[in-house]
Parts: sequence; structure tokens; C-alpha cells
Amino acid sequence: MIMESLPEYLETVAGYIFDDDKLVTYKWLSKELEVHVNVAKQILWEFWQKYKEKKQFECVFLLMGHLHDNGMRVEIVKEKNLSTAKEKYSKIIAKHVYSLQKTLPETQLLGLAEDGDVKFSGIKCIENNERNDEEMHIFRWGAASREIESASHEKVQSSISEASERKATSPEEKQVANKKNADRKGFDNLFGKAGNKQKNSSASSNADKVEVDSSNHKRGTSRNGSAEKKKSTQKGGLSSFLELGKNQTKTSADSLNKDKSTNSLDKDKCANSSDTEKSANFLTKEATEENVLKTDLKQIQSMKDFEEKISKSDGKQKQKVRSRKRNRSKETNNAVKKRKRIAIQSDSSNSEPSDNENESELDLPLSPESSPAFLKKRSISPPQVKHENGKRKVLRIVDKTFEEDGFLVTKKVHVYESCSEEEPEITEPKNEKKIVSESHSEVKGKKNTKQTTLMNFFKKS
Amino acid sequence: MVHKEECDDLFVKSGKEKPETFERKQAEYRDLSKKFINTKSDYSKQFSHIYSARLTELREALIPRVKAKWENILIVKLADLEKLENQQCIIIGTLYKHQQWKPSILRELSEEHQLSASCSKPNYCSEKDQPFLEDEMLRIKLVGEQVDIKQIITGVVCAVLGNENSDGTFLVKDWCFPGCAPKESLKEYTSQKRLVLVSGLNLSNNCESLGISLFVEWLCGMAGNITMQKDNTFIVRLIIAGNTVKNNDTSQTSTSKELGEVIKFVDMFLSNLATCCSVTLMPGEHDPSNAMLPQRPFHPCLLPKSSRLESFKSTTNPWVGKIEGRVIIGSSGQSIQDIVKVTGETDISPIEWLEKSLLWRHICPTAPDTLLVCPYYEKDLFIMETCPDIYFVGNTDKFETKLWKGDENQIVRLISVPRFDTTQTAVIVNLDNLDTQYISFSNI
Repeated sequence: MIMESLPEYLETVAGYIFDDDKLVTYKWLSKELEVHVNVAKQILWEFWQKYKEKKQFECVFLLMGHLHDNGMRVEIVKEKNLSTAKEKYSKIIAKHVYSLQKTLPETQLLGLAEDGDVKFSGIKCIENNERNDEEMHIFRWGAASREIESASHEKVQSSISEASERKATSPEEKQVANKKNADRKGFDNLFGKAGNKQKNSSASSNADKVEVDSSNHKRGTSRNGSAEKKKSTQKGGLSSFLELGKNQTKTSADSLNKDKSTNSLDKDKCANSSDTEKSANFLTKEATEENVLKTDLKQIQSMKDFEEKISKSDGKQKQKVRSRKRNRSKETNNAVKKRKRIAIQSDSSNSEPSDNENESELDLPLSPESSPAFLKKRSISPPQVKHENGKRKVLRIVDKTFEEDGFLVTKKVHVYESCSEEEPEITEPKNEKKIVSESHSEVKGKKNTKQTTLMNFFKKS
Repeated sequence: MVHKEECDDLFVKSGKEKPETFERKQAEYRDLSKKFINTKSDYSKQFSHIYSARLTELREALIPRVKAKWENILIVKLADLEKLENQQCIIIGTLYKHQQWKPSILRELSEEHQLSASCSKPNYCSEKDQPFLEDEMLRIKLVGEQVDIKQIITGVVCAVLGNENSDGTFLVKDWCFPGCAPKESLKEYTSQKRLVLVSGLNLSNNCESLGISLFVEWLCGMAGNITMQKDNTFIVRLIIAGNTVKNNDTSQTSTSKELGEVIKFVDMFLSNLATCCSVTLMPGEHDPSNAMLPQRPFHPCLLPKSSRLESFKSTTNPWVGKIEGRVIIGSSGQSIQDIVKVTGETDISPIEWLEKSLLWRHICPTAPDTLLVCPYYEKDLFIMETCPDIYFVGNTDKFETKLWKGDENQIVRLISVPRFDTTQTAVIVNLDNLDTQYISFSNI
């Protein structure tokens, strides 16, 4: 088989040596012709035998043998040095053509020659099984990493499924969660087990967040929401904000959401219950919002009805909307309504006439966008009062909106506002216009205020 | 034609058969160096725990030997020496050589701030070196004709016979070391299998040397004739003892990018070898592993191609393993190099220190004094628990070997594996009779 194709091979080798001026080593030749290394050596040998008289080229041999001092030696010698090289050895085990080339100034240059392919070598190793990917993963990261990986995976999936049960399926959220998880995986693994525990907890907290989000958006259980909202002020922040505001209006600052909701429910009952029930059924928004709406109902019926419609449509929209970003912006829109409502509501708790609302409406257009340090009166619940320069001042929490790095940032600020005892209702709107220096600021949560749009909406109504 | 005859065995006789390939023999392989990886190292611990653990463990080994050697002489603690009033006695403790020039962080700092003149010395020795023996509580200065300061190695546990002088020093009359650990079992070995040891491949600036490629060709059964290839199938494993990537720290100038390229090449090189032969890779002093002993295995991600192969095992330095029932202990060279620095003696070859460390029953006694080591506190990991069959050290200047025979019929093959980049030499060990020979791949 080999001998038959030998003439062709020899021709090819001649081409390599004389035409391409290549360094033809046996290992390269075996790779090139895809023959066993020993065949390649044979080809080179035949070639050398055939052409050494006719043509001008160099042959380099590999010698291997035992030395006189019990060592072994493998070396490469040029043909002309062969006899002197042999003297070193007590016994030569092997000798074969190593390479053929036109000229070779230095045998060391053969180190640059391309490596051969081990698969054509004379020895096969049956132990060189390759590990598959899974084995590699365990091998790389240790057996523990695998369990942890699957566990965290499950966790996230379960949280996702929970979330989806609540119809809060915003795919991006999922993706984000997944992605985070994936990132985490790689990262965890790098740092091993210890890291994993931490990561897992963060994973679960992340899952929590997803849950919180979903519950905030879609679920009607205000209790559930309120407990977790404070954790996630950014996401459910607006509602929690509402709650806070409400809390301050109705009870002391630490009043529970529960109480509040029951309060509002009571109010609902004494108000036209049919409407509120209806709204409760239809509203897919947060309960707090509902509550707010409900309390609003009492005072301004027409407004409430209207808002209900809005909220309903909002809810529907929300369900349709898939993108998280847009969801958020919706949220803020809602919140804007809520906020306004609360303002009204807080006013109403002071039995404020409805014409006051118009004023606040009027005020609003010149709010956040126009004045960077716009203050809005937030709540007045148990007003702390102090007397200064003979004037009575009331501690209030107001919203302050700053423009920060291109974002509108709203903070809750405690401010002493001067007010007359006789007509606090009237002074309030005025306070809104005033820019009161902040005496004591307390960051409660971030808010985005886009009241103008909503107010415009109301105006049209 | 002479050549023709010589090359005849290359030819496929009938011309129609497929050329013969041989299957490499397999060998039972166990890596016993798990303790180097799994032991927790708490870096907040003090190093003194290592010494006390070492002394406690080796004292147990010393006492029977001491009793056999000196019979009824009292063994005392250093604290009880006073009571004996210069009577002859035996004290057991850890040797400590006070050396001015041993690495010191304070001196490094003062040199950095140019408070003191920096001087680089080849070893830690000076005229003022003083030998001490210390136990858990006290230390005592050793004097006498038997004390050769060159032979005192910090960290070696030993028993000393003598008496206390009136000036508070201890006059040494004789020494006793723990001796080689007992052999697990004596059994017959019949396998014809062989190991190949190599170290200091230094592929960062040696990757295109002819020696390396000849070595690969030889090991993988490409070079040579059929007889030789058949013979080489008995080589069951290649052990690479450190400094595969680079051999010195001069490559500080080279960027990490260059290092990355080198490691890619190393990966190629190793995966090539591993497809044809089982490979055990130990990290070395200058390899990208941790600096503290025990050095951890190369991470699988560093060598993605090689790690895929089951025949490739990345392991620790020092390494303990068992191949075909033969216990093999080896290090990449730091332990012996550091001993040489401590003694300042250049005439004594690494093989002698290797033999001595066998008698000390400790792989690297100078750790943690002058050799970086993890602050283990529960156990000294470098105590030799069993007597090895093959005990080697890598990255030495030349190939040396010795068949050491102990009093309890222990036979240990000691090998100093030379650096490949300077000597182009690998070592072949026969697992059957522990015969060892070198094979060089140069053409100088």
C-alpha cells in the first residue's frame, strides 16, 4: 500500500524540497501526507537513497543510543558528522532520517520546524479520554458548585413562577433576574462555596424583590405590600410614599398599614359602598392606591369616579404593557395621581372645601419642571408646633424636588412652616408656592414627580 | 548498503500492512497530596504553631530512637536543665540558626527607604551565625566540636546528647535525628513500567528549542524505530517538576499579555503530551501559582485544553503520589535550594541534602523560617509520614541519583532532576527495580 504509492510520495517530497524550499521533517511530512511517522521516515529514507547522488541537498539524521555512562541520548546530526557522532555511543538504538532540506546552517533551527501530529505516532495512549462539559464544570469548580448552581436556579425559577402567578409577568424582569443569576453563577463558582452562600442569599433577596414588585403592581393585599415596600422603595416606592403620607395624616408616623387600610375601609363603608366595591373588584392596582381612592371618594365623588376610570384603564394598560421601563413610568403616573389625591385627602381630613383643590391644581403647573427647589406640602398629621418670633410654625413634611444630574429627585423634608391658627387651609396652598428653607431634611425615598401631566388631565375633566 | 540495513526495521515488511502502533501501558495512579489542598490555612495564625506541631510529632519518633542509641540517659526539657547541675543528659528540640542575613521584612523595608545599604547575598550566612536548640519554652546555645555551623539547619528536630556548661551553653557530644520514616509494606514489584521526570522546561524562552521538540517526539513515540517505540510504551507517566512556564523572575519585565501567550503555548504543549502519555504537572517557584508552599495545582481554567484530558493531572508542589504501588515524594526544588542558602555550602550537592531531609523526616525544614509557607497550626504537613520509594527534587543544576538504604530495609531512590532548559535532560526511572538513567536531547 505504502510502497505502491511511494513514487508519488517521492515526487511530492521533491516538490517540497526543491520547489518550495521547505524543511521537510518526518513529523511534518507525516502530518502533511497523513501517514504514520514511520512511513514518513521511510519515505524520506527512500528519497535520500534515490537522490543523494543526483542532487544537492542536505540530510539530517536522528541518532538515539546508550552512552558509555549509562545515560541515553537523542540527538540530531548532519550526515557529514554522522561517523564522529556515533563514537559517543556505546550502543545505537535507532537512527533514521530526521529531515531533508536544501541547506541547513544550524541544526538548532529544526526546533522551529512545525510540530508533528501525535495521532500518527507509534504509541497510542488509551487513557487520554476527554472530559465532557459537565465533567469539566465539576472538575473546574468542584463538585459543590453544581448543587449550588442548580439550587439557585430553582430558587429563581420558583420566584419567577410565583411572580407569574400573580400576573406580574414582565419578561424583562425575568430576563434580568435570569441574567443576574447567570452572572452570579460564574462568579460564585470562581470564588467557591463560601461565596455561594452569600450569593444565594442575594439571589433570594432578589427573588423577593421580584415578588415585591409583582405584589405591588397587581395584588390587592396592602398588608403584604406595605411590609415589603419599605425595602424596595425604588420600585414600590411611590405606594409606600403614599402610605407614609397617609400615615402621617391619620395617625402617628409608626401607624401600621393595616390600621390605615381598615380605617379607610370603614370610611368606604359609610361612603357609597357600591362604587367602592366595584372599584375594589376592578382595580388591579395596589391596595393603598385603592384606599386612597376610597377615602377620596368620600370627599370628592366626582373626582373619585373619574380617577377610578383612570385607574381601571391604567390597570388594563399595565397588563398589556410588557416592558418594565414603561411599567415604571406608568407607575409614576399613577403615583402622581395618588400624590395629588393624598394632598387632597390630607386636606380633606381637615375638612377642606373642594375649591382648595382647584388652587392646588393651579399651583401645580409651575411645579417641578419650572422651579428646581419646588416644595409641596405633603402632610400635616400630628403637626409639631413651635413658636418663633411670635409666629406659630408647624413642622411639616414636604416634598422637595431637586434637579440632580439631569434627574428630578424628590425628597421628603421636614420643614417648619408658618401658619395662622385660624385658617390653615388657606395658608397651605400659599406655602406650596413659597420656598421655605429646609431646617431639617430627612431622606425617605426617591420620588419622581410628573404632576403636571396629570393635573392637565384633571383640568380637562 | 549499511544505512539501508540500519533503517530496515522502519520498513513495513510486507509493504501492505498498516504501520504498527503500540498501546501505552497503563499504571495505577493515586494522588496522595490532597492534604496539601484540603487543609485549611488560616492566615491570621502565628507560624509558631508549625514548630510546636512539628516538635510534638517528631519527638514521638525520636524518643524510641534516642533510647535505642543512648540507652538510659535522661531526656530532659530545657527548663529542667538547671536542676541537673551539668550532668549528662539528652535534650530534644528544634534547631535554630541565628542568621543575620536571612530574609527579613524589616531589613527589606529599611533598604527600601535607603536607611541601610542593600546587599544581595547568595546565601544567608555570615561569620556571626549562632546555633541554638529550642523547645516549646526556651532555647539554648549549642557549642562543642560536634557542632558544625554549616550543618545546622533551622527547623530540623533532633535530640542532642551532652551537658550544660556553667555559662549556660550546651556542650554537644552527639546527635540523633528522627531517621527515615518506616516503610508501609515491603512487597515485590514486577512491573516493567517506567516514569519520566523532567523539570524546568522554561517554555517562556525555550519553546522553540530543538531539545524540547526532540523530547516530545521521543516521549510520544514519533522518533526512533519500531523497537524503540515499543520500548517506550512502558513509560507510563511523565512528571513535570515545576518551572514549566518560566525559570526565573527576570521576566518581570514581560507583560502579563506575554505571560498569557506563554501559558497558551504551555497548554498546547501539555495537551499534546497528554494525548500520548499521562502527565502529572507540579507547579514551581516561578510558575503562576501561589508563592507559599504547598503550591496549589494549576487551575483548570489556566490550561483549558490540557485539563480536558483525563490523562493530565495537575497537582501540588510538593507532591505525594503512588504509582503502581510505589510511593513517590517530590518537590520542585525550593526546599533544597533554601537549605543550600541556609548552609552557604556549595560543595554539598542537592542529593545529599535530599538524603539528609529523609533522615530529618521532613520535606522542607526551613519553612516557615526562610521559606514561605501557609501558617498551618494544627499539623505540620511536611513531615514525611511514610518512607517513599522515589524521592526527588526538581530544578537542580545536574542530574544525580542515589539508591539509599536505611536500617529498617528501606530502599529509597533519590533523584535530583536537572533543569531541562540548561541540561536538556530528563530522567527515566524504572518502577520495577528503581533503576534510573538520564536521557539527554541535545546536539551540542
